[in-house]
Amino acid sequence: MSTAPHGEEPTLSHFHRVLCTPVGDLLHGRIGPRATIRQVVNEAALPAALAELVLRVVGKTRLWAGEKLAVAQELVAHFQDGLEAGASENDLLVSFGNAKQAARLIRRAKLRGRPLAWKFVHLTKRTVQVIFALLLVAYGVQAVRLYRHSPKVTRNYVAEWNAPSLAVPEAERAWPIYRTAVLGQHGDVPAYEMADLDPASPNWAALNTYIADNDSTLELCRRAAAMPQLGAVLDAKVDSDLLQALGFAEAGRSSVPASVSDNPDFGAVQSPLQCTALRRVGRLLALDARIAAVGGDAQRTAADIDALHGVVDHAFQLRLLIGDLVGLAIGNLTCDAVRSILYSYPSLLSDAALKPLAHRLAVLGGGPELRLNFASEYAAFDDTLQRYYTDDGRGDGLPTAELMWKGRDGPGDFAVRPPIGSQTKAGAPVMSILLASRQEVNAQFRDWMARVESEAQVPLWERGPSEVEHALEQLHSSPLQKLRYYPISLLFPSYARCAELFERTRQARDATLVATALELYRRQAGAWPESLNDLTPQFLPQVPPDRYDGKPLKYRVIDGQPVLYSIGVNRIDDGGRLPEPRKPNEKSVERNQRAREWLPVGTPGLPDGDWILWPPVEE
Amino acid sequence: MRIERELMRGAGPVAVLKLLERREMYGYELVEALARRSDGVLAMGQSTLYPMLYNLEAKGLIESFERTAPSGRDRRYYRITKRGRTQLAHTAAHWQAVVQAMQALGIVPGGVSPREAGA
Repeated sequence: MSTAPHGEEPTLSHFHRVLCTPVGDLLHGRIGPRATIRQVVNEAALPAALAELVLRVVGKTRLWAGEKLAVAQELVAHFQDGLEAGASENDLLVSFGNAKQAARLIRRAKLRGRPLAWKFVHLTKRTVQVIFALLLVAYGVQAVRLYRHSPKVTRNYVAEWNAPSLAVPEAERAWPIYRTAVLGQHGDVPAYEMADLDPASPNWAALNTYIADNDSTLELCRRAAAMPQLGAVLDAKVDSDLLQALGFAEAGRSSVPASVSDNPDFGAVQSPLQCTALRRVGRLLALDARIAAVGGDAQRTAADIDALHGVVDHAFQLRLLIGDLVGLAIGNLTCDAVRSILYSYPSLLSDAALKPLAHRLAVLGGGPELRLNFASEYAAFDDTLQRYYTDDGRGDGLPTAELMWKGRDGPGDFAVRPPIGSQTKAGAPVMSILLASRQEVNAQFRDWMARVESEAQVPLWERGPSEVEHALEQLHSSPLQKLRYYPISLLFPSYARCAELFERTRQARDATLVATALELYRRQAGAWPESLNDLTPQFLPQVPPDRYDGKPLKYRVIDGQPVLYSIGVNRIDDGGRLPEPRKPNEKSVERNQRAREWLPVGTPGLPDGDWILWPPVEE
Repeated sequence: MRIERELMRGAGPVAVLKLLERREMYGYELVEALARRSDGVLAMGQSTLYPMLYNLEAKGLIESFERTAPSGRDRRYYRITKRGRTQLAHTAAHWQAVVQAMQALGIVPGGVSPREAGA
């Protein structure tokens, strides 16, 4: 816009264009246009109706002040021209047309003429507004989906789990007797070393006193272990007495419903109480067996070892993975005790005592093939799904807000913080978009569990790095994936150590059977055999495999003494010697442990030496 | 006779450009000229004219400037730009084709169809 004398060709400078923007208004010292526009209209001395029309049209355009002023000036000039040409006020009003429509069209046209920078900012602003509106709608839809549906808790997994145990008549249940034994126990089993199991040791008297104090407890333990059925149930009620006897705090259990009929969460009542109690019973029996052996009490030693087998069987009867692991640990304890007694007190147990012991060892854990039971893992997961996901009746559903507030208490890495705090409910719809559906989570869990079960069956000599462990590490390293499959990151532990413990126990069991056979051979032949093949088939059906190469276990007679061993983690036969110490005064037990800890083939720095299985490596 | 809005939307801008081709004009002058020269057919209210002028200006087909009239008042004048002339020529050709087609169809009297013209 420019002003030029009549007849001259004006040019539109950039400065004049700027004057038509709000910057121009500010340069003119105008904060608002209303007074100036009114002034222009008033000065034109138009008839009231026309003046009012101009003000109305200009007001409705909602343009910048400078733009409004220009429009007002033009309309005023227009009406002045019309009046000067002889048109009446009414003619001009009629010919003007609709004021509202005029304002709308003028605004639209003026906006088209605005600078490119303004258009860019305007478009950006509108885009942001549209995106925000869409997000708001999506948020609303998701919030409705999230809060409208609630999970259907239809299955009582705890009750189903307890059914077989409850079918056992109360008089035939071992668990109540174990419980009574633990409640009457005089403190936990004290820590001891092999050197303490010597009458000359300063700790010998204390250990004997402890055993004497727990004589009735031991009797109860043997009685319980002799019963065929454990009969323990998962109980929602807090067993305060047992908790106290086992040294647990009661904190953190109050949120669990008090009764199984209230359908408590399977994962929440999967109490380690029975496991801890059985483990304690196992340690007590193992100590008593060793002390009895030192005292030459063969009958008590054999009774304790027999009872230990019963405790192992009972731990497996819990049908919980954690129960299986406790069973394996007690099985290891049993094998260690038997091999130790066979070596230190070879003539203590008669052939008549050794042979049934060997037969029982051969079926440690309830059968010739040890097997980990993962059913409880599935039950715990399925119960979580039914509690924290909706159910569309076709195996799918949406995560509920409660899932995002669910965390896990515990020490160190075991504890899991929920994705959002329980107070930030507004964030739940956003988070829920990121979470996988019930079907996706379930499929992922079952795929991984199938692979875990498959990997658990692979013998140590065929084992490679675990695919599931790798996948699990990747899940935990990606915050988005961790959130997407939150129930899995919450409930899926590292199972690799379970499989290793399983394999180690198999090796311990096989080594104990071979050690028993070696002793029986020595008694008959008067000397150690040249080879393990000499034991078959009279004392051993077949030579069991070395878990590190799948070939028969290794055996040598060194300085007149038998040495039974596995080639160990370096997969090299080092002639039945322990790994070299890595630090001064490194204990033999630690060196032996290094040789047995599984690592993939080719791992740098694998410990040299072998895993000695018998004689026992003790300080 | 007033023509329908849709037709006016196509005819109005080209009519304004045509008027401005000869000389620059101000708003009221344009209204008068359109009504007079088209026998009222292309008469349009200011509520239509000014938005149309602003649109043409935004498209760069016309430009405006203020000039002081002999009466001493400032008026906003409009003139056609180079781009406006090009557009006018282009649109006029289109209109010509439409009129010929209308004539050929007998909707508008005074023409022959291209086929008849060829024969």
